[in-house]
Amino acid sequence: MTRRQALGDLRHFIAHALVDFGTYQDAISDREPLLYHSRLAAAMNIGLLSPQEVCEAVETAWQAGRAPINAAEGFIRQILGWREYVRGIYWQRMPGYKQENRLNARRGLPAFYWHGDTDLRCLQRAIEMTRDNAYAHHIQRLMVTGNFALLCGVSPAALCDWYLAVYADAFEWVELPNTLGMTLYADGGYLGSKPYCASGKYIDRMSDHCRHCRYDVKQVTGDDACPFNSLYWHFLERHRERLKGNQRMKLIYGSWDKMAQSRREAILTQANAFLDRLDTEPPYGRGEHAEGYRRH
Amino acid sequence: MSRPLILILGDQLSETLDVLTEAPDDALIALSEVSAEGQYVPHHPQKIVMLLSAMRHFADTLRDKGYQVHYSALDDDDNRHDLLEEAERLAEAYACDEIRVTHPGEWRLFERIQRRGTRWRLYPDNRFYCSIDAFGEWMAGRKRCRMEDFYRHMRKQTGLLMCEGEPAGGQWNFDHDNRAPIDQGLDFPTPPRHRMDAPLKRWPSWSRRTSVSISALSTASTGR
Repeated sequence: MTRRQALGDLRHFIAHALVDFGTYQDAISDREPLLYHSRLAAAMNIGLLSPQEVCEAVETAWQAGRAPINAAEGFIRQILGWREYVRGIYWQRMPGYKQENRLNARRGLPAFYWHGDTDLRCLQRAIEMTRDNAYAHHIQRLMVTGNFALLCGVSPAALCDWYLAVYADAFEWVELPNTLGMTLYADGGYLGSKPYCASGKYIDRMSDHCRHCRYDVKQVTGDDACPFNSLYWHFLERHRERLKGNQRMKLIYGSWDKMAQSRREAILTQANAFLDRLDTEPPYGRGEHAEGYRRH
Repeated sequence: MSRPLILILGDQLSETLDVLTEAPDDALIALSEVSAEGQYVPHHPQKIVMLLSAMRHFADTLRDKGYQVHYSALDDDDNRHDLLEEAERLAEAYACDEIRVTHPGEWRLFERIQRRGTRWRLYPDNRFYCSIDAFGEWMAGRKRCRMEDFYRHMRKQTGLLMCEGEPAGGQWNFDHDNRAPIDQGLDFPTPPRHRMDAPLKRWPSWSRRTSVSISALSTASTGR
């Protein structure tokens, strides 16, 4: 990998993908790993491209009328906004940040994260694409593998080590705040004002996975029900004390409370049965790195 | 005047780093492949390949520009396989009494370097829009430190997508336009493919041993 190749990737992105990047930045495809994403993070994170030259190239394309403002703004927000912001947070809050686990999540990593052998289609495809490309785009990371881990209560150490290992662009300054803070809400809402938890409905809206899946995304209980649905309510019920006061969560707790008690019980039983069957592995990080997750 | 050793880490492959632009003519540049950095988590084989390839190319680029470079390969017999110990070994060997390094991207290394003593000198990483200190100043005294506020501050400061002090397009945020779901009619561009190149033909035995596929890595890491 050279700077020349990275500059070629940048030119290609500007010429062919940027124009549609904004509109489809949150879409998920069952067959296409990259969509209109640039995949420039790895080159930027190892220093082959500077964030300045990347942002300026995008701004220039917009000025020349070759990209709409929603694409240019959406992209520059990721670099000038999120990327710089998580780095700032990392260096202001370490070493304590890595020890945060405010939702008290203790589960190991689902074993299928290592091979993608699962019948949940969205997870299977996100993990297969990760295995094949050392890459997944941000919505796959946040709303598929990340959201599932959040709902199941996977520990920050277990999930963070996986993200650090499997993505070519992952270095701790950028991986840790994104995984522990943004994805797992383990920093108690320092980064995001509410957890990015979602049921199967979100995945069905943004992707074409569900039509290929053996589960029915419209069902919450029963053998064919999409596991995301009952896990979603299980998560909310588990963390009611912490989250019920959050203005942005009020509506959703309202819907939960309006359900008949027998319905709520059936949903929680469904989720518990799924979690009991879930095969997991303990965190595997080593040495000082692994020690960094523990409180002293 | 003493001769410094300048350690370049695997994610610092930028010719614009202060530590390089301010390097005296006789400085020794060190890039080191060490097993410790590849093993604290079992990295994806493609990540390891990318890093080693990029490091080897970058060392060649620096040599072409006239820098004196020591490159420690994974299978060098005398490699200490730890970034800091390897740099200290090279400093002895090349009679360098100062080791300069750009602020690393990881707390673990940053802390170890700070504990290492006065021979080590940290340089700020100048490759970001916002330095660590400038971020601290932005945070100071704020009750909430939301990304959106920081982002607007940075837009104003850099002038990116700004028109006479106002955000281009009349608003800061276009998230509302950016939530279209997947559509079967979409046509996606094919990204450029990069072929594997000469420096990777010197592929070390260590990486073959530790990385074949993600599932093999997981098995290796848990000892099952």
